[in-house]
Amino acid sequence: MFKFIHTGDIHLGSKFKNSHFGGEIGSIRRREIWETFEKLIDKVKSENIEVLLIAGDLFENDSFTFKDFFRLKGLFERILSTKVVIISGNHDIVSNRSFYTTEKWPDNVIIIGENGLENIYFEDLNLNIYGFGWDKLTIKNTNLLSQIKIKENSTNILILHGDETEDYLNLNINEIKSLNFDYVALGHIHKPKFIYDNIAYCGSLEPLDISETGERGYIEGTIGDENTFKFIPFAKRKYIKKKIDISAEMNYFDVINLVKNDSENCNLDFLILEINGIRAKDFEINIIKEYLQREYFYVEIIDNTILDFDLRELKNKYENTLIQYYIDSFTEEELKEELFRKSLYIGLSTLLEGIE
Amino acid sequence: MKLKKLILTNFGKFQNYTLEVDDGLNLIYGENEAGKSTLQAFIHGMFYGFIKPNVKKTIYLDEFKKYEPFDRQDYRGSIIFEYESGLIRIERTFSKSKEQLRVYNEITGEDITKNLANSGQTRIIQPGFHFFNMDYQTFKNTISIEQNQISVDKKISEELREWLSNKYQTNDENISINRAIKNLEQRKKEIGSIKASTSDYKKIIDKLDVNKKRLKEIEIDKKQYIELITQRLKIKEDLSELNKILDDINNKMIYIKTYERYEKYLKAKELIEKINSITKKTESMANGINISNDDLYRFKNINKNLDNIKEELRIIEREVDYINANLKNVMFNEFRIKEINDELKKLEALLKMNPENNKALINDLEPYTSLKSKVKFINIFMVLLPVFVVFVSINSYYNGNFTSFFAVQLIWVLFYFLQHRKRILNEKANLIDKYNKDKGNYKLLLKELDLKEEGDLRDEINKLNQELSNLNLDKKDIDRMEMRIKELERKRISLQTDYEKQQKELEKELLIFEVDNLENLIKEHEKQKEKETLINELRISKELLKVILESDSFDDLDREFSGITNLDIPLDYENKKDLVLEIEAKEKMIIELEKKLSNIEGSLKTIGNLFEEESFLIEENELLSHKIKEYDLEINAIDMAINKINKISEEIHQNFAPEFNRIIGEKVKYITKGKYSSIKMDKEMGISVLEPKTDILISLDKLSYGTIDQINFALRLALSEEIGAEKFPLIIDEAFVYFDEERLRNTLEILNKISNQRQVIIFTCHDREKRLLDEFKNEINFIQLTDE
Repeated sequence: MFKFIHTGDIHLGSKFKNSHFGGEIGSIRRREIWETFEKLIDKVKSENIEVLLIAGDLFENDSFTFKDFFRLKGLFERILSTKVVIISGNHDIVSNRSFYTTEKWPDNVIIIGENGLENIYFEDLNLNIYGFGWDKLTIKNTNLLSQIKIKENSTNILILHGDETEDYLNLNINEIKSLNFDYVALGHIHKPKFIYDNIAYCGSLEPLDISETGERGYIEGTIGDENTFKFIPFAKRKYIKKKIDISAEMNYFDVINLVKNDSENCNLDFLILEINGIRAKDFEINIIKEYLQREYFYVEIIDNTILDFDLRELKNKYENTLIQYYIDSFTEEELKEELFRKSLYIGLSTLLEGIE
Repeated sequence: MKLKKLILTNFGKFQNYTLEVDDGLNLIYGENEAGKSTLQAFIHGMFYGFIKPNVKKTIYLDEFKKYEPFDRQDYRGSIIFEYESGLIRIERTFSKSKEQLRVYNEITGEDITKNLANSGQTRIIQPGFHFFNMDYQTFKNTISIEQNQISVDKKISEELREWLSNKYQTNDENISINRAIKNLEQRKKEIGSIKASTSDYKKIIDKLDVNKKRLKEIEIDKKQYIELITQRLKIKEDLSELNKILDDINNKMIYIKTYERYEKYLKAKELIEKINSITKKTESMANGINISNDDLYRFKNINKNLDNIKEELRIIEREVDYINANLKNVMFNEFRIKEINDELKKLEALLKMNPENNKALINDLEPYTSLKSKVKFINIFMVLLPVFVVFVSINSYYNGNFTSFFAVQLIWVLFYFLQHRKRILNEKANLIDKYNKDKGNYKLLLKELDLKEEGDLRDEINKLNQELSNLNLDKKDIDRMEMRIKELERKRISLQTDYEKQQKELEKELLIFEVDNLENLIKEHEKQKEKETLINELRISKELLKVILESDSFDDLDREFSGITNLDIPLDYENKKDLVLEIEAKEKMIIELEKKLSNIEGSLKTIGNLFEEESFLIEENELLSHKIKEYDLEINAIDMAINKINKISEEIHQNFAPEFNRIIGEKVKYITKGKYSSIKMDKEMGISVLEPKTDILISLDKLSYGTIDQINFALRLALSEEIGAEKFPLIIDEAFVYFDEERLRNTLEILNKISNQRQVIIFTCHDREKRLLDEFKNEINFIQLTDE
C-alpha cells in the first residue's frame, strides 16, 4: 500500500493577466502560490507520501526565473524519500533551454515524457507510471493512447496534461477509461474534477485567474487493497463569485447582508460580486466595496445596477422641460450601451440635483 | 430683504463709519471721491468678499487692494439687514490670511454661519450666494448696478441666462442648466485629463508611462538575462566536457597510482624478505667478546714489531757470517813488510845518483856544437879587429881625420866584450861535457841490477811501495771487521731479549680474548665485523622500507596485491608528470569556469528579481489602464451629457426667446415711456431694439449713450424682476449721467414707485436727482456724504 498526491497547474511565477488586482495583490498571490506549494511539500514530508505526481504546468517558462528554480529544487530536496514524478505542461514545455533539461534535479525527481510517451517502473512499489510531457505550445491529435500498454500485476498510473479540445491533446476520456489504469492524473483544467472515480483533474493548487472560483487543492490517493482517491481543499484563498439583485429601497446594510448571508470566514478570500438591479440615487457602489473589503481579502464589484430613475415618470413630471428633452435625447437602442446609459444617468442626476 | 446698517470699521477711507438706510428710497449724495463707490463696494465685499469666484485657490480681486485701509490694519466691517422677517448681521474681516466671516442672528445673537455652508465655492463662505441666491456677476447685473456697468454689457452672466430659461420653461421647477453643466465640468475636472497635472487621470497616465518605460528597460535587462542563461549553459557544457576529460585523466592516474602501489608492494616485499633473512643470520651469530678496532690495531702493531725484530736478528746473523767469510779471505804477512822496506832503501839510494837529477843545469844551454862554433867565430874577429884598428888608425892619423880615429878606438871595447863572451861560452861547453861523462857511469850501475834505465828503477820502487801500502790496508780491514762482529753480537743479544719480552706480553693479552693467537683474534674480529655490517644493513633496509611504504601499511598493500601476480605497466606511466600537469591545468580551468559560472548565477539571481517587477508592472498597468478606461468612459459620458444639455438648452432658448423679449419689451416700453417697445435678445444676450420711427432693428450699441443706458437700465430692472430679484434692494451708482431731464424724471418716477416694495439706494454726485425726487413729495432718505 502506498499513498500519492496528485497536483499540477501550480503555475509558479504566474502573471495574473486580465485580473485587475494590480501589482501588489499579484505579488502577494505569486508569493502565496509558493507558500501553498511549500505547504504541500511539508505535508508530503510529514505524512511520508510515497509519490508526488505533478501533472504539468508546475511553473511558467516565461516568468520562472533561475532563482526560482533553485528555490524549487530546494523544496524537492526536502522530500528525498518521495518519488516526484513530473510531466511538463503547455506553460512549462520542455526545450533545450528549459530548466527540465538544463538543470540537475534532485535524484528523487523524475521528469518523464520529455521525448514523448514514456513509462517508469518503481519496483519497490510495483508501480508503473506512464507520462507524456509537452515540448511545444499546442499538441493536436497524437494517437498517444494507442501506444499505451499497461503492466499487468502492477499498479498503473497515467499522467497527462491536456483536455478534450483540439489544441490540447484532444483527449478522449472514454478511451482513457478503457485503458484500465488504476488512476489517471490529469492536469491543465484548473478546476478540480473527478471524471470517473479514478480519472481526475486535480485542479490548480491556488486559484489563478479571477474566474477560478470554488475550492482548490490536490488529490490524495491510496493504492492498496482498496484504491481511494479524494480531493483535499488546500488553497490559501478562494475566489468567491456572488451575484445579488438590489432594489432602490435597500440601504448599504441590506445589501451587505445580502452578500453575507452565511457566517463564513472569508477574510482570506477574493469576492467577485456582481450587483444587478436598481440602486438608490445616493447609493454608492464604492461604499459597498468599502464595507466588503473589511470582510474579504479583495473585492471586485461588477456593477450592473441602474440608478433609481423612473424615466417615464420623470418625463411626465418634467414635461416640456430640459429633463424631458434630455431623457428623450437617448434612444432605446443607445441605452443598451454602457456609455449612453452612463451619460444619461450622469446628466440626469446633475439636472435633478437640488430639485428632487 | 432690506439693508439696515452699514458699519465700516476700517474700509477704504472710512473708519468707524456707520450708515443707516431706510426701507424705501435712499438717495446718497456726495461729491466725487466722497466715498460713494466705496460704500457700494463695501456692500459687494460684505456679501461676496472680493475673491475670484469658482476657484478653490484664493485670488483677490482688484477691489480688495483698492479698499484696503492705508494702515492695512483692522480691514473689516459689518452689515445688518432684514431677511425673511429677521435681522441678520454679517461681520467680516478682510485682512489677508486673517479673513474671517461670521453671520449672526442680530436679534438672538445666534451664530448661524454654519447654516451658510457651501455658499460659494471659495475657501471663505460668501453669504451673497445664500442670501441673494445668485453669484456675484448676476448680483452686479441685477441688484447692484454700477456706474460703468450699465453700458453695453453682453456679459450677462450664464446664471442669469439660465434663470431666464428656467423662468420660462420649467414649470416653476428650478432646473439649473448652468449648475448642471458646471457640476458636470467639475466632475470631469475632478477626474482630470492629461493636461491637468495634478489630476488623478494625469497621475495614472504618468504612472503608466513610467511603468512602460521601466518595462522597456526590463525588456533589455531580460535580454541580458537570456544572454547570461545562454552563457551559463555554454559554461556548463564546457565544464562537463572538462570534467569528463579530467575523469579520464584521473582514472589513468588512479591506475598509475595503483601500479605505483603495486611496485611499492613488490619492493617492500623484497625488502621485507631481505630483512627477514638478515635477521635470521644475525640471530644465529654468537655474541663473543667485543673486539674493538683499536684492540686489533694494537695487537697487529705488536705482532708487526715482533716480526721486525725477527727480521733484524736475521740481518745481523747474515752480516756476521759475511764478515767472517771476508776475514778468511784476507792474506796478511808481517815479514814481507820488513823485506820490502830494506829493498826500498837500496833502490832509493841508487835513484839519488842519477845525473839526470842535474840535467836542469844544462837544460837551458845551447847545444855543445853551437857553442864551439860561436867560439871559433869570436876567435876570427879577435884577430881581424886589431889589424882593422891599426890600419884605420894609421890611415886616419895620416888623413888627419881624428874623428874616425877616435871612433875606431871604440872597437876596442867590442873586443873586450868578445873576449868575455868567449869565456862564458867555454864554461858552458865544459858543463855539457861533464854531464855526458856521468851519464855513462850511471848506466853501468843499472846494468848490474838488470835494469835498463832509470824508469824501470822508479817502477820497481813504486811496485814495492804499492805492495807495502796494500799490506797496511789489509791490516786495517781486519781490525775493523773484528770490531763489527763484536758490535753485532751485542745488538743481537739486545734484540733477542726484546723479542721475547713482547712475545710474552702478546700471548698474555690474547688470552683475554680467548684466543691463542692473533690470527684467531683477527678471525673473531672479522666475524664481529660481519655481524655489525648485517645489523647495519638491517637498519638501512628497515628505513628504506619505511621510505618506500610512506604512509601505507604493508598489510594493506599485501591485502590489495597479494593475489595479483602481474600488473600491466600503465600506458602513461612515463608521462605521469604530464598527466599531473594536465590535471592541474584542467582543474584550474574548472575553477575558473566555476568562478565564472557562480558570477553568472549571481547575476542571474539578481536579474531574476526583474521578473517579479515586470509582472508587478504589467499587472499594475492593467489595473491602471482599466481605471483610465473607466475614466474615459465617464468623461465621454459626461461630455455626452454636457453636449446634450447644451444642445437642448439652445433649443429651449430658441423657444423661450420670443416670450422673454415680449415681457422685457413691455418693461422697457414703460421705462422709456413707450419710446422703445420691441426688444430682441439673441442667445448670446446680444440686444437689439426696434427703432419705432424707422421700424428697423438696431443693435443697442448703435444708439446714443443716453438711450443705451436707459434701455440697459430698463433691461436690468426687467431682468431683475423676472428672476425674482424684486425682493432684494436695488442699488444704483451714477447710472443716470447721460440721461436727459425727461428720461431721468421717468426713471426716478419708476424707482419711486418700486421703492414701495423694494428698497432702493441711489448714489449720485448730482443734485438733480434730489430735486426731481422732491417733486414727487415722497419721503426719501437723503444722506449727504461729506468729504472729511
